[in-house]
Amino acid sequence: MPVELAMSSFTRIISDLERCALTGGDVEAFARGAALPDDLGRALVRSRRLRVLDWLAQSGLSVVNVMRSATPVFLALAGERPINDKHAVAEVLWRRLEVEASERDPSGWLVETGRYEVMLVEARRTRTQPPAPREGIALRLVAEARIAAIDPRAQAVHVALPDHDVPTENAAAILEAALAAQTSDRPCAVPVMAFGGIGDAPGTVAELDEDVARVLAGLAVAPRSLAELRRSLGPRLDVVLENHLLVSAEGA
Amino acid sequence: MPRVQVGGSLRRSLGASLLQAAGGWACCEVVVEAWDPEDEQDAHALSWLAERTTLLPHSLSLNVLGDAASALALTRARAWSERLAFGRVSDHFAWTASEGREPGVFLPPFEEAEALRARIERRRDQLGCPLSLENIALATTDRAFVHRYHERLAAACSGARAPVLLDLENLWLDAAASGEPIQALLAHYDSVEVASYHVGGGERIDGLWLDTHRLPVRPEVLSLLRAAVSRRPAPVVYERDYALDAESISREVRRIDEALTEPEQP
Repeated sequence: MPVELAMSSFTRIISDLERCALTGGDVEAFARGAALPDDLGRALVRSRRLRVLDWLAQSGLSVVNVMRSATPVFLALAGERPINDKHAVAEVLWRRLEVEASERDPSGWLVETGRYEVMLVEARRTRTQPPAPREGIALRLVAEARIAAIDPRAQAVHVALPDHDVPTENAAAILEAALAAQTSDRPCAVPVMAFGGIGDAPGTVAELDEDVARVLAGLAVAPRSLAELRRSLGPRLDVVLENHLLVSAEGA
Repeated sequence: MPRVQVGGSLRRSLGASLLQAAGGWACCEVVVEAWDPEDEQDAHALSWLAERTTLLPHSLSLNVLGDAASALALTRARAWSERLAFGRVSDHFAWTASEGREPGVFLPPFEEAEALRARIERRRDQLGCPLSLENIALATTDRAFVHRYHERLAAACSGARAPVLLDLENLWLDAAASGEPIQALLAHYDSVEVASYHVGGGERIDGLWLDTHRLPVRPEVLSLLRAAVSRRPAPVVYERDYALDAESISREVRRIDEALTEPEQP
């Protein structure tokens, strides 16, 4: 086979694999196009999908390391919908695991930890610095920012969870020990925002003032100008501007 | 039974506990691109380990049968090779990337043995040190495909004078999936040089025999290993990528070592 033909085949096969594994596609068609048996095609697609789960675990979703159902639930999810936006997959996956999580830990801290960790994954989104917001223009929050109601004390459980997959027989004890790191009775949710860092800078997960959260969340429905935001938030607007979290809502 | 080195694979995520344990193994596999030779802590860790055990450098990203190697993997493999005087680096008889896109899976080659031999030689020249190549698990019932893969591996490696890292678990999985007798697959390797062996614990999931690397080594693979080592002694590495626990990994390394040293049952 000529080198040029081989190289175009490499590119095409990788593209087909990515498309099939991440956005849904005919596995048999992928296998045929790559001159592979169907079952090997299935194994490759499965393996590619699990790289996304590995990434989620390495990016902060440590709960999946102690929940054996995480892998089959994730693979089922990957078979039903696109998983190419891996940051967004974290929330969808955790919503599917929440029922089991609340059964395993009725205190609610495992569920809360998963929600907190979803925010950690969201904060991994990278972004470029948007243009500085101009006066008189309707503004909205950047797409890479996310606001949710979470108890940030769940961080104590997160830190105590392993950042790697553990043997099934050890998982329950490891989880029990991690939950013991949180001694409060029940979680108490407060507004929290996650946003990605600019360039190589790390992202942030931070508590928000109730008023600031309400105003910023409201921008999705009713964009506001800088002047209006200053009137509502006063000096609390400064940290929003310093983190480049506002963009023009025009053309959105 | 010849005495051979038995060890495991170093995993960063298990930190100091596995590093300490690895210092007590006879050999230890290290994925070169996962460790930064310019990082003081990484350099100290691998130098410390190199004083206590035989390091077996391994890569997942040299893309030996593909177009270009990962620049990071190549740079680090070369740097570690120089710093720690590695005799050889291993990777897979597979391709993994194209034009910078790396999906994180091993794809079997589609070219003939002669073209694959040329790719091995090219990558070896870029690396600046010898390469050994590992067979991947194929997870297929297609017997002809399985034989073709192993035939090409043996031919290309022989042609390039590159030894093989014989993954006996993967071979066993290929036999289980395809229904081919394991000895028929092993026969492809009769005339190749074996640099080392991999053993691990795979599983059958959703109808597929997969090298999941999360279990102890099954008795059938241990028997294969004993037979292989008695004929062609070489270091043995236990692969474990999931269900990680330093104590479990060390225990399994010891068990494999004991299985290779206990006398043959009459």
